[in-house]
Amino acid sequence: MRLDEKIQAVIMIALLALGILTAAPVILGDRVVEPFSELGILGPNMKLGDYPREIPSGENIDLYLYLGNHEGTIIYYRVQVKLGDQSTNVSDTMPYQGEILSTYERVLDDENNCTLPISISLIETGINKRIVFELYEYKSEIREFEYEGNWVQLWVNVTEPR
Amino acid sequence: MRIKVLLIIFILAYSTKICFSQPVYNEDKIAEAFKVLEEASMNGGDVSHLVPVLNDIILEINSGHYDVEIVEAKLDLVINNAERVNAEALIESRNNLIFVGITVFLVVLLEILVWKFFPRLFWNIWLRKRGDWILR
Repeated sequence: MRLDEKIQAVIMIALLALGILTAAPVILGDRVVEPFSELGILGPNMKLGDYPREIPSGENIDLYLYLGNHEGTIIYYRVQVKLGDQSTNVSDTMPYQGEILSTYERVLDDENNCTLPISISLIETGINKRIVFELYEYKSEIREFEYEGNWVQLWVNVTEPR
Repeated sequence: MRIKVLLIIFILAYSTKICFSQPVYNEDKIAEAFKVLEEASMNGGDVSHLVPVLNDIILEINSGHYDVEIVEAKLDLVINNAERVNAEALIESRNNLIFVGITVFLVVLLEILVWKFFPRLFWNIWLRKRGDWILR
């Protein structure tokens, strides 16, 4: 290869790289490869763990709800807290068929998270009660909240009031 | 008598409408506000300053203690600001597109020019600089 051809090749490769670097962000956009949302329950001390196992009937248990948005866009979340037991399993596709105890809503910008204090009180006594937290996302196209298969649960025994 | 009955029906219907339509209306408006925010966000606009305001409104409505007029005024503020952010984001993304288009066009043009004319240019310069050299 002659000297002029070598220099020509270097210049052309540099120009090509410049073109690709300029056009790539516009063509690919800010696409998120694996969009996901986070749902978590934290104990009374805002830590994973230390969850109450025995709850006296009618007494409030203070927990924290953790939400994280990595969907690449702003999301309007709804968390439904439901009460159940061992008889029905929680599904990733269908919302849990249990009594709704409370509902929490929050709008989160992309790459943001929040921790909300929540308080739950159970009246009916019994062992192995399941408190299910389900995450819903608002879909503007259908103007409805849709269950995305994100859920967490707490197993508790509801004892007689103190 | 008939007028009185009609009047009562009208008052009842109107009061029922007030009682039951307000929360639904607000939910619709929250959905509308969120949709505008979502559009602005998807177009690359920065809506981070509007999200806390919308969250406060949602909290207020969910608590059940809120003034409809204040909530609506806040929602209007969010919607107007989000529309402005969206318009700015659209202009910015259009400008970016134009910039990238021009850059790519120039790069392609330069590639063609380098491919076609660089050897001649190179040897012209070489001859001008070293043409008077004598080979011994």
